[in-house]
Amino acid sequence: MRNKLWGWSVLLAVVLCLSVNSVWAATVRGVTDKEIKIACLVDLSGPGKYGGPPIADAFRDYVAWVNDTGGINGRKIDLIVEDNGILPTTTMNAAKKVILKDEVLAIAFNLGSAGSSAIVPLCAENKVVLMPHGANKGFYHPGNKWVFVPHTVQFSMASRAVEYILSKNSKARIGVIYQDDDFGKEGLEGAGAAATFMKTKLVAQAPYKTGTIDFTPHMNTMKEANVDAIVLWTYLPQSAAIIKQKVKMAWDVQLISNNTTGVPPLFALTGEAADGYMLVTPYAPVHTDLPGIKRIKDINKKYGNAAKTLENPAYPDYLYLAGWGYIEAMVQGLRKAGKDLNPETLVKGLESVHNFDMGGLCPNITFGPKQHVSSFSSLILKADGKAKRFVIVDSIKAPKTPQ
Amino acid sequence: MEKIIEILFNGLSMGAIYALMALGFVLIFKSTGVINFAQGELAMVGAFICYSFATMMNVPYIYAFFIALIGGLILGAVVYQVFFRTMVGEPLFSTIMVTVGLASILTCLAGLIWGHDVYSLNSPFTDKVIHLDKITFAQGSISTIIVSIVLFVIVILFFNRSLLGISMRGSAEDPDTAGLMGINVKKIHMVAWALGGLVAAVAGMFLAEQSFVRLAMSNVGLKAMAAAILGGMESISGAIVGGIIIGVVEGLAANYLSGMSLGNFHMGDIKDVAAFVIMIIVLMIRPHGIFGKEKVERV
Amino acid sequence: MANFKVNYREDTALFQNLWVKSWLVIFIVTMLVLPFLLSRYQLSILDEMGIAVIGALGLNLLIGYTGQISLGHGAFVAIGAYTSGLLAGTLGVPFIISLPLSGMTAALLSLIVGVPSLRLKGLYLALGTLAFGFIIEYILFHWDLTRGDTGMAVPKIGTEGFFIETERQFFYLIMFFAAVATLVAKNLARTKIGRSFVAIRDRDIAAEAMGISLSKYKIMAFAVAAFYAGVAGSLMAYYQKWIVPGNFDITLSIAYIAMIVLGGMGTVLGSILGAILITGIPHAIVYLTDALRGTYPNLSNLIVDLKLGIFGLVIVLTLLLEPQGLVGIYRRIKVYWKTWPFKY
Repeated sequence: MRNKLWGWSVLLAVVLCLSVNSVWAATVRGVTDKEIKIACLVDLSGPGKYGGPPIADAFRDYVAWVNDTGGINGRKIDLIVEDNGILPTTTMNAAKKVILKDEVLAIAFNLGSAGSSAIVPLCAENKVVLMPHGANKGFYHPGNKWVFVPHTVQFSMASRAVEYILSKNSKARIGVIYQDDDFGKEGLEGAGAAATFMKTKLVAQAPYKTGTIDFTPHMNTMKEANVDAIVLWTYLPQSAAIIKQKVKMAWDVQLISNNTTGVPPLFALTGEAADGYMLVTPYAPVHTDLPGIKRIKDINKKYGNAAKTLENPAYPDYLYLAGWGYIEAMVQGLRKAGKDLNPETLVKGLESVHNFDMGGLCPNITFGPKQHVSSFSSLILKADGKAKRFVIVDSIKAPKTPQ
Repeated sequence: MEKIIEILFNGLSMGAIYALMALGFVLIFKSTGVINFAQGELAMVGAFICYSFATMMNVPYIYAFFIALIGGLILGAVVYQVFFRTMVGEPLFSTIMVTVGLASILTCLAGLIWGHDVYSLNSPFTDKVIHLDKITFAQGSISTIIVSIVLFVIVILFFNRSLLGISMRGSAEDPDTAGLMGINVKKIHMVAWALGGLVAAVAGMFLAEQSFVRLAMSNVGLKAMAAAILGGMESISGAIVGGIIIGVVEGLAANYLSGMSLGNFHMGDIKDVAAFVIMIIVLMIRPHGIFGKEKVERV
Repeated sequence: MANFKVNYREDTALFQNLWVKSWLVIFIVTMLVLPFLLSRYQLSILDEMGIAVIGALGLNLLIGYTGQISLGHGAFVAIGAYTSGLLAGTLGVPFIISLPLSGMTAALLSLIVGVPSLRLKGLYLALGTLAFGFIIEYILFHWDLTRGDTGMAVPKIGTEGFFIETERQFFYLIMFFAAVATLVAKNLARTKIGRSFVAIRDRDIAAEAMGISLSKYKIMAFAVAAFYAGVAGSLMAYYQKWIVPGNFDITLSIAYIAMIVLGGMGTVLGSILGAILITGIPHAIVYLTDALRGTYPNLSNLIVDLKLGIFGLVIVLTLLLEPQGLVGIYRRIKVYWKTWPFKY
């Protein structure tokens, strides 16, 4: 009895194994005659929750506008916004869901660099174009056929920061406070590369562990090294804590940081003490009247909820703009890919996007077969503590340091 | 010289916060035998309550402070009523895991109510300093230390002089006998939890005053647990001494070791792991802590 | 139907009667056929569950059988994953060798916690293992070899010409190991070792008085649990093809505890049920939010918000309402039907 059952089950298994080859239909995942499925993975539940909604808002507004104005080569975009919880494990689940279940053509945004690296193999295996946010140099150098970075990476921005300081004062003594993860270390490397290129060096470095809020020792190290400017590769709470520490020490030192800290809550946390705080970012502030900003304000007014988003002074608009830059880049690639849309033509399409005009909103987008990062350029902003906003002090420029 | 005084002073104010948190652990553990992994979360909720009144509704800080105190008190009592009233006599693993689960539930709810951002708690002491000779003292740190000392004195008097405090000590020693003596053990347990919630709220507000209000501030709970272990889980004076030791060691480590590195490992990080390293060493050498009594186990 | 056992062999048989055996055959056939009926997405969820089953079995042997609290199980999974990643990625060691080596490395490192466990009990052990988890995470973040928080690639399993890469191939591979792990755990639990574990859990001093060597069996329990975790980690590394330290933080340890608490502590079946359910919950939430998004967007958003606390909620509710876990419910139902219409 038992042997017989075994025999049958093995036979059944063999038959099934043989019969299942070649059931794949010849359709392209996520593309029909009328629709293209695109995913946007943002954090709606985890520690990066502040970032999720504005990015999703930008995607929704942009997609509504594209679909309303005729779509892409006759197809409309079906946008899937999925919660990735920012952590690697949750991101993996979200990516699996959109790739294997919803069957999207591409992931036009993924928040969190660790999670992005974790899903690169999954995307490559399934031929899904991935646009990671959290943008590290590792995503395009050496790079992966399926990964595109429509964002200036931390390395380039840190180089730009150091070059800007040295251009104002060629003898400036520069220190770096950085988070000791890949994000912060890349800032340190970028700053170091620029310093070496400009024939000087960083006089002090102080790493801190993720989550640190007490910066007394770090600022003491900086003070002892007698620095004129500190490059901060930190996130918002840390930058705010450093500004407070600066006030406590009654020390007027120039701080320059990265785009992630350039949000309205900085002023809520530090008040007027934020005055003079500088940052490097690929995105212009929303209160300017550059053509690119005007355009997104108009679209936001027509398709989105402007009162709650861009017109709300407490809204983290830089994240909205970041989302905008990503979906804009993706849509340009889709347009260039033409009517015959599949993962391969999308990669070709993206690689042929050349100097796409963003109207000053952020650097123009250029991809190429050898260049999967859109730009090296960024602007320098300075905090106006009284008006509680950032103003441009130096326009979009690429660092001179070899990238 | 000025530097070392400043470091010690800052370490002392951080140590006072750890000591308050550790006091919460000890109060609850001593009376109910439950080790509360959610102590940091209770502190976080206390800080958020204070923030909602002081910053969002513009209530004067001193009122907001007392509202948060009462909030912490009620929260502690509610936690006991909902989760631990029926847990008496359950194995240790169950009670530990309920508090671990409670921690993530509290974080989730706080995220739902107040959001995942970083907020600043504006107290009268924020960003104010006093200069004495060449030394700078932050007013926030001074108030932290003073209020903590007052609280410690009150707690110690409470346990040594008041009837309720003495009956709490009695029921901690032997709940069955205490019950026979006419002490309402369930009420005692609830009082312990409520007091634990109260000191946690105080610690949370001081911590928020020195930095910010955010969900991640609950991490300090684990460091405070190290302080409680160091002092001995059952000793109130142990909690105070343990908290201060950890605060001062952290301050010294941060200032004298930062900048040095060993490969990719930064010596300055020792500040963040110092508490755990101390905890492991204590667990190895003297698991019952400085002031704790070694328990003799009988079959 | 009476079920007399006339010799010792029958009494100790793993699968006691025809009923159990036929269910087993049906189960095996289902597992063989399943990959051809399910979509890749569904298979990928089953693969995850299979890996979780292995890890949960190990933890249940430690906590459920031996009564040693561990809040650092995720760290051993991490050790297994990184051992495989380093062995395969930098030295090119094949899967067949790296898998057991991962388990053994984890078992070896478990001595760091196992030896102090001779002195520490209950709360103190919980804290010790928790601290161990933090230290491992810290090392993974900072060690040059493990390449920081963006992690490292793990090569495919196989050599020229034949690679295990599709979900279906992984399904068979993972289920094979899960089945082996279950059999080993089941057998271990009913041998002298398993009975010693239970004796230590129930009263360690009494166990020692009966001649059970506490140090030997406690260390063995830690080593076995770590070996299971290491194997689970190794499979996870190969399956995900990329590992980052963030995969193995305290939430993983808590998820594993949630598995055995929900399933039922001290039972093999409980570990399996718990692993399946806890792994399934996040996917069920995604399914639910998708289904509700169109009709009740607010409710859908609320569910997303509650995601963070879900494992905590599962642990608390199970411990408060049904401390025996799902297996306890199953047993109660079985007894109810067996004795129906009587109460006992």
